[in-house]
Amino acid sequence: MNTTEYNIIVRQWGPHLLRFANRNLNNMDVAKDVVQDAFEVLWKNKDEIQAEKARQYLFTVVFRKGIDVFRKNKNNVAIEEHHYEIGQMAGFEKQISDKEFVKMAMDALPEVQRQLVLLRDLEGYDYKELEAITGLNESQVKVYLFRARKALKETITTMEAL
Amino acid sequence: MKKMIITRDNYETVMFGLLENEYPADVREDILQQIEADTFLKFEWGQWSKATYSEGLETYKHHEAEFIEGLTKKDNKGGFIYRMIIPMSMAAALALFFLVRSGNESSEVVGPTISKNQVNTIEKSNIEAPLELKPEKKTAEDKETGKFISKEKNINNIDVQYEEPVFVEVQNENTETIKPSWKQMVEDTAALMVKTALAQQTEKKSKYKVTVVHETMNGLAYENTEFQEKKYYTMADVMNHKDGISLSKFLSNPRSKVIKDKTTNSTYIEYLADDNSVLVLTISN
Repeated sequence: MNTTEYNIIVRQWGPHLLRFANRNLNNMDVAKDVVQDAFEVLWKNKDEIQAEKARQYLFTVVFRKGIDVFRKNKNNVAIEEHHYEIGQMAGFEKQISDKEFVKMAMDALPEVQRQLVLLRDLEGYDYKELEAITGLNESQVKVYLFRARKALKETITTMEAL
Repeated sequence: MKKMIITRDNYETVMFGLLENEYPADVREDILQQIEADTFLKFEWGQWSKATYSEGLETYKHHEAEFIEGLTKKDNKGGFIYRMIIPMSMAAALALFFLVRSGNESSEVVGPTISKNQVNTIEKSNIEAPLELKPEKKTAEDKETGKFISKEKNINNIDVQYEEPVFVEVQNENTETIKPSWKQMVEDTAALMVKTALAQQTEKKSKYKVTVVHETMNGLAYENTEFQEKKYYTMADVMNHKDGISLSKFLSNPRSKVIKDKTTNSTYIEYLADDNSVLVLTISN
């Protein structure tokens, strides 16, 4: 991969990665750091990585870095506070769109499940690609996704009922 | 078409399959018709179909464009040159330094750089016998009208051009008069240094200067008698201002000869200038 190809990849997939990281980490500053790190890793290994494989490579790096960040902040109360927000906002459900319910429900998902849903829904990766990015096998991917969808559906149903 | 029956036992799996787009279009259509016909399934499918996430890229493309652009790298095709500019500059500076230094050294090649050499100016008539050189008849004539260059007070900076040396064998009896003096002054290293100097001069095909002691002699070295008394000065003496010797003279258009004394096994280089001044360099014995 040469510099021109690298820059094309940055401009093409940078926004996608930033969206994925931001939705996953729920923090734009941290998301930017993670995306920047991912591109630095890509740049360092540009001689070994083909341009057509770069997208998957980048998402794999961001996925793993996302898990690292999540583990570091495992005891962070941010997620719990968010749950509290959901409870608080229950009375205003009429002003909240389905999209926002989903967004909140996504934050309540376990880390890997959330990332799988994002990769599947936002980036359209198939099971094989998800297998490569996450390191899970296809069955595990499918199971995690099923649990994630079911959890989302139940959370949304619960919030709508409040 | 393979018929898929959706029930309250398997509806979650089937609806997940619908979300994941796992079924062919005709199967999917059939399942959706079954769901539509059942109120419970219809409600559940409504909730399941919300369990997907979508978000546009506009925010990230436009609001974060600067950040994204900051991730790009400049195409430095001349990177190698840029990286090498500093080392190359340093190398060039060093090369220039040594070149200038080398030039300075070569310009004074017979001066301070060969301080171990014996450098003497002798009046031509003093060494008339040993310098009976052939076939240069002019030399013989000049010798008779020779002058004492040691008595000159002015400094003449005149370049000496190197000429291909001519080997002349000198008879033993002719060299006897100066034999003791030469022996005192000869250093083996001088031979090498003079040869090096001559080689450099030959290579460059340019002029070089031969330094000759001449000032404040006060008749010490250049009277016939004094000469016989072996009063000679080395270049080191000159540089150290020994006995008040402090300056140099340059021969004009000298002719050079190499004289080899078989008896003493000594070799000299003789320079005979236009004004009949003679410089003898001892290079071995």
